[in-house]
Amino acid sequence: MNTEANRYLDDAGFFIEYLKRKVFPTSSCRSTTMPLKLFQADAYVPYLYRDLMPWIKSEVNLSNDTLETIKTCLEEIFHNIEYHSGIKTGCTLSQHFPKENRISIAISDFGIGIPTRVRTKMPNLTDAEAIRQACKEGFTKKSNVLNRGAGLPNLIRYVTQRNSGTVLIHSGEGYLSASRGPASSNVTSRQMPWAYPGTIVNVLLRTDTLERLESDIQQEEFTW
Amino acid sequence: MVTIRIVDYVKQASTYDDGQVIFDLIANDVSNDFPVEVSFAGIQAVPSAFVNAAFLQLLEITSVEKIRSNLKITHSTKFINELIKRRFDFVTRAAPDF
Repeated sequence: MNTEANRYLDDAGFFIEYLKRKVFPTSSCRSTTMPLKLFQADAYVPYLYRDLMPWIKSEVNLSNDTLETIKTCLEEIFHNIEYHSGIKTGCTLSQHFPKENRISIAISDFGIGIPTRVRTKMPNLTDAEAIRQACKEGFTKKSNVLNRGAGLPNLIRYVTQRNSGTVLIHSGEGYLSASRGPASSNVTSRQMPWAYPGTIVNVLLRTDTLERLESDIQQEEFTW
Repeated sequence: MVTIRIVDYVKQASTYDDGQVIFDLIANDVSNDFPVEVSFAGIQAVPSAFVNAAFLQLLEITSVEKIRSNLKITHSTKFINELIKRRFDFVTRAAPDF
């Protein structure tokens, strides 16, 4: 790996997390970076609620309430790890790109991966097809299969259509990209020449449209 | 009518387990034709795991008609309303036998 990549990882806290020491003496976390963090999938709440969301709030200078729907969307990813990855640990790294009006939030796990999980029900799908399938709305009557078929579609719909952001998912050899479309999200998936050993979800939020999300947390009368 | 204020029963309305707490409180009444009000006061948004456990799971024990007539959602936001309605609309379209 080249020196520039190593330096970026060092700045992001990668070597501190895994080697318990920095590689370059001058490395330090950039002011626009939320450093790399390992978390327990069933105990993500303290990290999300007390670290990540306050960091996003301070970067974009918006209230906690305005960002409440974004927090909920990120919970969909944490839940996906907790309920479906088959492992207990995940990893996350976030960065703000002020000049581009973007915040990148990457959340990953080294679990069984989306294609393997989907193929337990639909064995003939390629990795790309399986990821696409996992991002379609679904439902199961079996309540022991937690939350199947709702989390990723909910995340993609909201981030792309309300925030005009982008969601990228790489799992196994499948890679999915979702962006804003005229009526529904524009979703494409393809086979990659190399595999990600687990799942990584990268949410690219537009910071210049976050303020409009405040209307989504206004009270509204519920009618069936 | 019984009123269940979610914040009185769960620390946060986030996980499937949180939703399960609410389901356990309302399931009997909804399926036995006793109206129940579930208040989202103090909550602006919830993820799908919570909605699936608290409300979609009702479809395993009663009909969508009974749910619609006996379950009243109050103090909810546009985000919450759209999620609940979209999930019920999808399930009743995809599995009309409910």
